Amino acid sequence: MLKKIGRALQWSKTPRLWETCVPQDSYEVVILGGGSHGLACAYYLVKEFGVRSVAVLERSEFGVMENPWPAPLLGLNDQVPWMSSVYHASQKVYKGMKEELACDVGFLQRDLLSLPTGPWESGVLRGMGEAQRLRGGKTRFLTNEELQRQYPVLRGEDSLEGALRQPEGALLRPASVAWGYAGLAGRAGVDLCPRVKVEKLEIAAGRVLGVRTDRGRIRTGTVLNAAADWGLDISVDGMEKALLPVEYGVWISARMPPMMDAVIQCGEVYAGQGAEGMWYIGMTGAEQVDVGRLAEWAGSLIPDLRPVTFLHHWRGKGYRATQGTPVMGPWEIDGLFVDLGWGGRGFETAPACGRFLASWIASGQRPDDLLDLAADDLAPMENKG
Amino acid sequence: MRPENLVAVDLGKGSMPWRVWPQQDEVVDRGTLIQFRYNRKEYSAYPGDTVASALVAAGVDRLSRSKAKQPRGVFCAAGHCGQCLVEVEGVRRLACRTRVETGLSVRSLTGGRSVVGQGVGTKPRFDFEPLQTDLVVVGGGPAGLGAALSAAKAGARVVLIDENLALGGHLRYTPVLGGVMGSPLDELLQAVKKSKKITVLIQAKVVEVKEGWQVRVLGPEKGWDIKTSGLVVATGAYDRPLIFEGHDKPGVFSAEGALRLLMEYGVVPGKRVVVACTDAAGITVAVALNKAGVEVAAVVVEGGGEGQTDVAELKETGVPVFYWHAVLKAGGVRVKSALIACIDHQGRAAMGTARRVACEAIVVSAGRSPALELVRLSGGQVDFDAKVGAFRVLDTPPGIWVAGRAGGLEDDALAIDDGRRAGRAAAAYLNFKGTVDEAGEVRLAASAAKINTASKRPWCIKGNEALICVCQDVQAGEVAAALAAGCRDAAMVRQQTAVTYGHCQGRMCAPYLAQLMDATIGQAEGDRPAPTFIAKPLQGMARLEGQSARQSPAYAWHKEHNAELVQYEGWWWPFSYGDVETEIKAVRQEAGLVDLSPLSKIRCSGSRLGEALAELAGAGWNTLNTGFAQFSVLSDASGRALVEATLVRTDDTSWDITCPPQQGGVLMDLLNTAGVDSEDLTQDYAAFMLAGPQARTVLASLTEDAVDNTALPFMAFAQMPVASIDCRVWCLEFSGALALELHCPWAEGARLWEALVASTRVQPVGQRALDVLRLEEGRFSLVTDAPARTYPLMEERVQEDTAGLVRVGAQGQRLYLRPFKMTNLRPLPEPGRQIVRVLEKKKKELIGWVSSCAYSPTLEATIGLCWLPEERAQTGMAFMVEMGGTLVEGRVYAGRFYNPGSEAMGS
Repeated sequence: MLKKIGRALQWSKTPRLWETCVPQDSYEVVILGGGSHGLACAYYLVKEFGVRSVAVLERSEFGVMENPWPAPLLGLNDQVPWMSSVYHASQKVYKGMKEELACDVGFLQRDLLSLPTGPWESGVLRGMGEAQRLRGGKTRFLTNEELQRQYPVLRGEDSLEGALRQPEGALLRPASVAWGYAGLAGRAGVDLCPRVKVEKLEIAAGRVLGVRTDRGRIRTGTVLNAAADWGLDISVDGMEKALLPVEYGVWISARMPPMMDAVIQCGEVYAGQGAEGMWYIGMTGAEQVDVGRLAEWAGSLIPDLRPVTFLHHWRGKGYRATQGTPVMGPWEIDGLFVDLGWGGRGFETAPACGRFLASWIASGQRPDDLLDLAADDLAPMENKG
Repeated sequence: MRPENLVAVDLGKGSMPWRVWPQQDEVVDRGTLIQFRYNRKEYSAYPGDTVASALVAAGVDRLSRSKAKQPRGVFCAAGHCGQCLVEVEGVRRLACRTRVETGLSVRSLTGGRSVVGQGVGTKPRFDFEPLQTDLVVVGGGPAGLGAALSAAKAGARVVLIDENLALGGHLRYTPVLGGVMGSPLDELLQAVKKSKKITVLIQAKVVEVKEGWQVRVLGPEKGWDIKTSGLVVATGAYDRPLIFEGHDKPGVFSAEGALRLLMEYGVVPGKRVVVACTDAAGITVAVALNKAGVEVAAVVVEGGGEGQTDVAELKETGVPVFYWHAVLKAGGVRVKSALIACIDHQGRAAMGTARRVACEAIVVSAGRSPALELVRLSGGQVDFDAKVGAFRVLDTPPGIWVAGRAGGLEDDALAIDDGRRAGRAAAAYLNFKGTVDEAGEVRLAASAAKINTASKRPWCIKGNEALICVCQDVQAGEVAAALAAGCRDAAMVRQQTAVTYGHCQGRMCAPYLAQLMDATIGQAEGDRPAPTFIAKPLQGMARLEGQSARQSPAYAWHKEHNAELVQYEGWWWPFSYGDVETEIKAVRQEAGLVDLSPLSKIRCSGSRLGEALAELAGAGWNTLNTGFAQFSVLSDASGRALVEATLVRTDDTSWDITCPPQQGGVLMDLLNTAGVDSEDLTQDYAAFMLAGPQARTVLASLTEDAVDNTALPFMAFAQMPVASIDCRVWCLEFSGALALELHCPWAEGARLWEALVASTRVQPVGQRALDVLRLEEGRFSLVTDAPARTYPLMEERVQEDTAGLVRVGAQGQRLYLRPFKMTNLRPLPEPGRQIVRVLEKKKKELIGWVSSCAYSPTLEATIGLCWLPEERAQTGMAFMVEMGGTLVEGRVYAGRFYNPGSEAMGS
């Protein structure tokens, strides 16, 4: 009975996730897209850079376009040093997010095993691991023997080519990231406006003047387009050339006993087991999500997974930058910033990019020192002596 | 109708205490007894039993547990609720869908033991058999049988699929009441058996429906991929749980579940049961249980009993029937009692009237919710009808029909006719016999049929405590709290509460979630409904074998000759044909044959082509004479080396480019950016390379055309028939050897390969040997030596200059790619090993790394390529490679190891 009363109290006390409102006539900064990046940027703009009037316009509801299932941080081993430091900086924020920001994103530390997509990549991964080892970092290249000894479930018939083990890897829920930042932004005083259809940007003389929406016109001098999958609907010339449509999807198994405490990644496919025992296998940033290829990859790598039942599925659409790295920063017109092309993996970098863009928007200068460059995460080439 | 001796059954005794006397249509064979193990204890069963029926018969009720570790047992016995999940021979399976076999080992899923690695019970790899048909009928119940028969009668080929252990659907267990003799089932089954047009797949589940219509079916041992012109969805409906406190306990059965167990296996849920219902099906099961000798302690009807006709019979036998009553609570860990009370028209209970009724099981019937997964997968429109409290089909795409309970049909007597209607409509649509009228009939069954009004129970969710999701233990209050907190979308509620995330995939709880959402925020689904997914094992998601990676036309030959085939970049590559040294020797001394079909082959044209290519590849390309070829590294505007390509000018305005498949996409992007029209011909032409001093001789033996240096000069091409296949032959160079690249139409590829490989001087050569051969020449491969992605943010970049590749860092520091030779043959430094400079106090500074390395049998040396800073990249300089704590010495080598002048090319 006490349990019952406790529960009833708990329900009645559930705080509102965030308060929503209809957009006002004018704002200093208008952010298009209520995903993890847009909301994080809004939060940091108000919280750290003193911009007072910020609105986030979302076409549907905040965070519903984000994956609700745990997904791995895959970018930690990115070969571009700047990118990998963005991923690492974000990872650090996520790690302490529950304590510091009272925001649970379902962070679960998991080693990230990057498998080479082909024989040539094996050398690259070994190089990254070797350089880390010699510099005293924790990332290691594991040979096949080490890999199979430490992860006995990896006993596929296709030959392995070793793997890079990144101890900073993690699983977290992308939708919770967006929700967490929506809550933080809402409490910080950002106007959160769901169900607003943005029609077009109002531009005159090379400057952003405002945004036209189905709820009327909003005056603003600065717009950030962070609307992953509808970002192109309100694009300006040339943007569509920089972005390619991609799909991403995840398949979720029934709860299984613990089989493996690392997330495996191989190019655009990944597999990992969460805290509750579910396996998450997914494909990111592919032109077309190919579940057949994904299933074959996972099944040949971990034969024990073949009879395991998969129960749920989730898929999303986004854009990947043709140039590989996402498009982030000012775009052509005065007052227009974009943050597009993360191909469904934006949640991995929301804290670092949100802060980076907030600083850029607030100061007008590309920030140099906002990201703590993780000392042990530099490309083999940059010598630290 | 019941035999007189039925009442004499001694329920509760013996090894199968809950087995009653044989039922008329039961599937178990009581002549023999088989033994199986459950949690290390021996249990008895009859052949034909499922694990679920055998365990219920033996009095075992707890099989699995929910997320919050609450015990769970058999509920629907139909494979829908997911509560009877057990571990059968190491694999998780539903007990109600698994037949008992002698010696079967079953364990409950209540512990946290590992199930992996213990002899996987299903085949490690599925085979999928392709099938083609006119119509697929999913569901072998009365509607499905009716549809299959009438479509077959009209002349259509039909595949009839049922996931149960036998055809018949609810006809198998719906009791024949009121003295009606002769179930229609036997007749229908006979007709199906006789029909030559109908193929039956039993124990087979449709797991995927794709536009066009492609249907994937999984059986226990194999799968089918069916191409069909139409699909009849007659998948029936799921029993809805009746929600009261403790409705999730083992010992609560659905009405259909109890009927199934009774009629098919002669098993009852207990000696004394309470039946709680909102519809007529509850009365039916009460009558049937009563007849089987079970004491029905009470029939509790949440309502006035409208449309319930068999009540008189029940009352005659002394069964108390309570109208406007509800079960409030199930007592005990396993059900021991039911607390029942009077309710008013809003569903509020009058606690003063509450009384406890002792019982061993509660059988509930609360209406059905149609099984619409296939409709959703096929792109049909489904919405939630709040008035009825169930999902319904609004529309289906052409070629998809819905029949029977799936379409919302409530009156079972009409099911066969409704199936026949769908079957006739499908046949007419597919241009078999049938009238236009029939074809014009709606694709949905329920439009004209009676919709269940008993499902309408606005008070079915009684308060915040109501447990609506039994897999994940989600209570109504949690959903209400999520809605109050601001969730405005089913996706958000799901994420917030994990409702529908359990093993039943929402089959049990989705109607309740929808009902709560509809009542609170006026909409059941948001913008983003969860994608429909039908549970299947991972291996059931895989594609047909062999389609996973693309295959060269010579793939069959490679496979037949035991080549080591490796899959990468979406292709199967022959890596070696046995002995790499023999392959290398062949290229150096005679002739090697290489399958290069995966190469990206891109044809480009356009007026701006020359200038564009000059920008990408540097001057020289645009001035190349027609008919001649050139190797080059293509760079983007910033000078970043991206693609290594061979380019041939085929005429004034068109060029053919080949490059490694990894770079094909980048090349197309580069060309598009430069405004060049390009066309990917990769899978239009097969490509093979004859490399070695005898290449021309081999070619001459297969063609009548001249192949000498005049007819086919170096770095040029000619069109000629080879083995009477029209080929374009390019005369190129590969790692210091003469290389003739033959391109022929893809379809002729296999024949050309076989003709070439049949020549006595020819040895097939794989990718491993090619890698050593290029190192012998000191030739880099961008793919291996500089595989950096092409990010603009990548501050360092790889460029080509006169001395080879150079890597320019962010601060302008430069690394050069240099050939090297190790001082000792072993150890061989793998690519990625770091080159270090030892500082004082044994500190090591990283100065470069090895990017390729191999043992060359030709040179009898360990050679490779490495990146070094300029001051250390001079010929002859020594460097140290760090190999796990030890240092090994290598030396920079000048130029090519092999054939330094390439003077032999002209001959």
